[in-house]
Amino acid sequence: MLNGNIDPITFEVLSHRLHQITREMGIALERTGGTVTTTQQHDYNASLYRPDGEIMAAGETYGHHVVCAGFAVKRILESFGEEEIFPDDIFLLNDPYLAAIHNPDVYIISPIHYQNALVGWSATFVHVSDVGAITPGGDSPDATEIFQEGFRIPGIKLVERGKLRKDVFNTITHMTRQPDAVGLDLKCEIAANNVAKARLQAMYRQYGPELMNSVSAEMIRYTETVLRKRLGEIPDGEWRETLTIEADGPCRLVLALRKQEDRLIFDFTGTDPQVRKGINLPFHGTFGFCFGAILYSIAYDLPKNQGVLKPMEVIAPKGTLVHVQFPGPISMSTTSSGFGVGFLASSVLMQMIATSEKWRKEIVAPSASHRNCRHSGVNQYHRYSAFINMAHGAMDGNGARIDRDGVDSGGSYMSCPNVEWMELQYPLLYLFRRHAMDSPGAGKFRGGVGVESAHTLHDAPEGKIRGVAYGVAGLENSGHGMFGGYPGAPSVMLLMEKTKVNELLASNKPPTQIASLGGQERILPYCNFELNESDVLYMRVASGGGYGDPLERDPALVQKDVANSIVSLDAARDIYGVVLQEPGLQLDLAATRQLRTKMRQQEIDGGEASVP
Amino acid sequence: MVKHPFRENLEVESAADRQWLRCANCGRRLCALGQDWKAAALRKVFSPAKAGPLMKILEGRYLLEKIYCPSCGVLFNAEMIEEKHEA
Repeated sequence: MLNGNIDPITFEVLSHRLHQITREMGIALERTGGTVTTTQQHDYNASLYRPDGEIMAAGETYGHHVVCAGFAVKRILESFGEEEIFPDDIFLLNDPYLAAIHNPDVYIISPIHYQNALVGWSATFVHVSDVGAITPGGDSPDATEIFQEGFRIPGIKLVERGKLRKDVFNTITHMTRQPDAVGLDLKCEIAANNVAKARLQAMYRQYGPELMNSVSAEMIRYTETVLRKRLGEIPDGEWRETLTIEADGPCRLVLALRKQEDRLIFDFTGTDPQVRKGINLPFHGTFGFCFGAILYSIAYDLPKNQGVLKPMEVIAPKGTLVHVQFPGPISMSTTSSGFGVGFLASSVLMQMIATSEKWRKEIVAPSASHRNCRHSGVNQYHRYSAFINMAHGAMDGNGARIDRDGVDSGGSYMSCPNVEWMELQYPLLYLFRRHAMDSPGAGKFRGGVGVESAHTLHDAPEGKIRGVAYGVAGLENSGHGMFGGYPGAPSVMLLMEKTKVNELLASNKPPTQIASLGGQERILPYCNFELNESDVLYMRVASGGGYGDPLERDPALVQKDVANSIVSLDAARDIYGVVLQEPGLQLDLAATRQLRTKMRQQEIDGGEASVP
Repeated sequence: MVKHPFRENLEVESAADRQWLRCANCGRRLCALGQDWKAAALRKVFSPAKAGPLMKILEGRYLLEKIYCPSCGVLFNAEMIEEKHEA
């Protein structure tokens, strides 16, 4: 399927080498970043682009940022013109109304020249620790328009002909609550882009511009051709999905996917109007999350580049949650409507590939993501910091597949620092972090188990820190079941105020059950809050949705889950119809068969159903 | 007759220029392709806690909806639906 002018071995070697450059850029970010978000949680991306901004080689993390950084390259080209773009310049852009998704995701973009000709671009983003918004860290539940959400830069030269513009650098970092940390993160992005430039220029020297340009064009053509062929193998049709996010009332996202021959049309018509809460998503973000869903479903094995975008069209009416109009707030867009769009797109794509005998083996029950928390305040070393409290997405349970269980705490993105590292850096004490029993969606194959954790203050000089609750709020988050599989337990964030935690710890009774803590509980919506001494924050992330009928699950697998404290004895009986005898959890197959037959009949007859 | 999957336990049957959705387990025809197959199936709703103890948080707002083949009882779908739509 390759263009006949390129030797296939050379094509393979060079295309993999280009992708390896993106990996090396990521390693540079991890080793030189200024915050835990970059160095341990890996909330970043690094990709290469062709001279016109088309994606040449996508990095390994977020699909949506790969697309949006490409838009950022195009905005820089439009804004400066090639005549004002010089070798060794480096640009900064974080304007969500141009290309970024929310202000803290700062794009650093570097033109790459060879023999004075523009031959490509590299681009990175990291989520910087602060942008000077109304809320520390940037995710701002109280913001009603973008002017409250921090600095917004439409494209500026941060480095000019190889020299850092200190005036610009200082202006940006001084607008934040943590100039040192933000400065380090900006410099780590510069470092990663320098790595990309050096590596790409070396390839141009070794292979020459003609071959390099041909290979990058061919990579895109190859991906598009194979993807269109795959789409052509799947029956045409239309599939729908909805998701309700709770933000001062229900906010409904709607998607219909139409597959016509080798084209995919994602149509968000019917989605609710934008709101005065920062969950609105810019159009390019919607586009990017659809790209990611394709990438991870039927294009996961192809070179990741612009070719994935070619067969797709996105219809997102202006002024809605998925196409916000200025000056609507967007600071929580990525983890709310963004992940919502990712869920919708994944769900309809899964329904689509379920109609293909060839592709249905790739089905994964989709997830509507989880709640998230960010803290800020003075730490035990008397330094101010704003930080994400764990990368909760890294601990989600994954969706079940057509032939196997979802991965337990497999994570949907990012990486997760260990508890000890968090406690070393921040004034927190973790009471527990573990798999949440009975959280995975039941099914013939169950979803992956999600994680629950609880933490309290420890050695906080001010006796309190701030918190902000964001993510996908409401009860429709977490994993969704497929084809008879049940959903995963909702992701929740529970603030428990005035608990007995300190008394329990003082009396050497580790509070491993939240019921033992007492105090006043409240489930947190999108909001700011304070974590005071004797308060506990309980969080449960998303768990995977199940696949198929739970009554068809292999009883031996249920027995194993009970032994591993993933499924309770009650749930084994009441959901899976599996009878285990104590002691030793011996499987009673005859009783199991009898119970399952009875349960199915009761369901069909409506004996225990609250049928309207 | 040609058939291809539609989803777990449901398939599309094509015959004589017409396409039907049918149960892949027992062959029961539900409806023409494109029509509302759920309306032609057996539908039951339950308390969300039927899906697990951590689902009790959904009580009062959501219901667990299950859709079965009206002939053989094989399960086609299960999902949480908003209770207000049931009123």
